[in-house]
Amino acid sequence: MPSTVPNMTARETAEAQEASQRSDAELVAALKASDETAYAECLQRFGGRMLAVARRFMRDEGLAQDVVQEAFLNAFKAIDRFDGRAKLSTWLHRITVNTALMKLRHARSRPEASIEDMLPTFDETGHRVDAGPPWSAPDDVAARFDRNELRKRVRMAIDRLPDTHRTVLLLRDIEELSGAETADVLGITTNAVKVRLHRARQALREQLDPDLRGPVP
Amino acid sequence: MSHPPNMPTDLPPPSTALPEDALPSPCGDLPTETCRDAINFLLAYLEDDLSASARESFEAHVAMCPPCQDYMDSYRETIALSREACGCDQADQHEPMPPALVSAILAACTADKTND
Repeated sequence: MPSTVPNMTARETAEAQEASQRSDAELVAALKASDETAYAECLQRFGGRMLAVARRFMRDEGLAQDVVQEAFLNAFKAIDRFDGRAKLSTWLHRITVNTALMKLRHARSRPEASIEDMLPTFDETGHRVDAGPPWSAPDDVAARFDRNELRKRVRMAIDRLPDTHRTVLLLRDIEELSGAETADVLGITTNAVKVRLHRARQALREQLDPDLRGPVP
Repeated sequence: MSHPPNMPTDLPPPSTALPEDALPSPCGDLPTETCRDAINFLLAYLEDDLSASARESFEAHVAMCPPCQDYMDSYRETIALSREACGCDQADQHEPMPPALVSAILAACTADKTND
């Protein structure tokens, strides 16, 4: 039997495969019993998703794959501690994020670009120097960009942020950690989280501005 | 509650103060006098971190300043776009893991078991 049906999207294929597989509870029980087919099934069901998460944090395919490998190995070793209160995918997601943060922290000895050049600038009276027209309405943006193309541009813009700011933006806006949780995970103050988050959002906005600004009135 | 392993919180915090610690907090009770102030206080405004008087001053400035209104709208849109671009329902989240990576992880599992 073919593993995929022609014309199905990757998402539909994944959902169809997931529907035909063991429940979370059955899969966890099999993992706890060291059933080797369960390891393969776990990687098949959740591996792609975790790799996408790791790519956001690491920006480098090789490092992202290292993160995913380490995350799954740690998860399999710790599976006896999984009590089923969270979904298995949520638990794996947290482990992947934590593993990525560990790797980033170890890699952070290298200097990174300053975010200052990406921020809005002001004249001596406090007015924004680069204030352009307002952003286009969603329908106008849709006419200009395919939605997937826009998402790709946003991801590329996020990737251009310096690591220290990009990580805070990912944890606060994508992973939806609170300011206190983000501060705790990164070992910085909540004030530093606020400053980095605001700067990251401003820098991201500046990068998206040329694509999204409307016509000059 | 089940705790994921290798939480990075067990690492010591950085030994030197971060530059951000020396910066004024983006929340506070200062009046919004310029567009620079409005943009500096925007995060605090959106997170409801401004005092009542600072909030009133911020809103009065933005109401009279179309560029700051536009900036606030585009700032909010930036947040929404980043959530959409990196959200869990995007196509790349449903691509399968590369077979070579699956094989490497399964081989490492086997090696771990053998070593145990």
